[in-house]
Amino acid sequence: MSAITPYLLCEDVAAQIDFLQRAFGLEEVLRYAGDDGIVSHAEMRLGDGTIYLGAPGGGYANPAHLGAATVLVGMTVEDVDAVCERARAAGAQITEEPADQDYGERRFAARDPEGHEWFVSMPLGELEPQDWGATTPG
Amino acid sequence: MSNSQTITPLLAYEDIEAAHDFLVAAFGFAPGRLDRDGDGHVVHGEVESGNGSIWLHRISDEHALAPPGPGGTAGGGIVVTVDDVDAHHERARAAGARIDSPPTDQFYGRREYGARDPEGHRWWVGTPIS
Repeated sequence: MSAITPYLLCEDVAAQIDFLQRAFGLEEVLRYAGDDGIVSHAEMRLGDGTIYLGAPGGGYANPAHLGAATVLVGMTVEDVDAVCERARAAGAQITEEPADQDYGERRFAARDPEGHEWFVSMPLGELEPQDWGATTPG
Repeated sequence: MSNSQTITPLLAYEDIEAAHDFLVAAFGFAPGRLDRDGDGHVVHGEVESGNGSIWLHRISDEHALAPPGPGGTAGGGIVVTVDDVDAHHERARAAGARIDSPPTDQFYGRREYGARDPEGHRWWVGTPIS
């Protein structure tokens, strides 16, 4: 069976590493720079999840310049509202404020300086009977 | 997304159902859910890998999310790690994946090939070199 890792292309990988640490608390696992000192590949981690960042070089234009993202990364966190405030303070563009979704998650959406979009969510706990108007004996 | 999956990639597709079927046939992912609206049109899909799912997302103006299109510029893609990259490559090619680069030993310790799916998303599939 295969394993998957999202790969986000960036114009400035070193700046993206710094941003993702400050905004979302991702941890740097490794970075690779060529002889010119430009970081062309990096790996970051959140819990058991990993993402790769890469600079394709050449005539690459990031989503901010293209006007559309093709890949979006979803992240599951414990406190979605706290992460949203952290991301906002770090300069992320919040494109959707935290809100309960009807499929059982609370989620916000943010755009990073490279134009990549992120969905950050946490599962909503199971409802207690009192939460929806039911009563229990005693 | 399951509770244990902290990172989930989402790819935008114009035809989610066709993309789902292609990813299962060409890349060997397990089929996942296909959610339909009242008209039977698929609005959300998933395929499953060994370490979690990939969400197949509708084109979304509010999130500026769109597929690259054939030959278009992708903002990223998915790296896939498999047991036998050469067999995987043959299967993908036979299923109609566009091969950007054939399986090649890379200096970073992987034998890897590059491919694109019908909507232009990029895939890098590799096996660690032992």
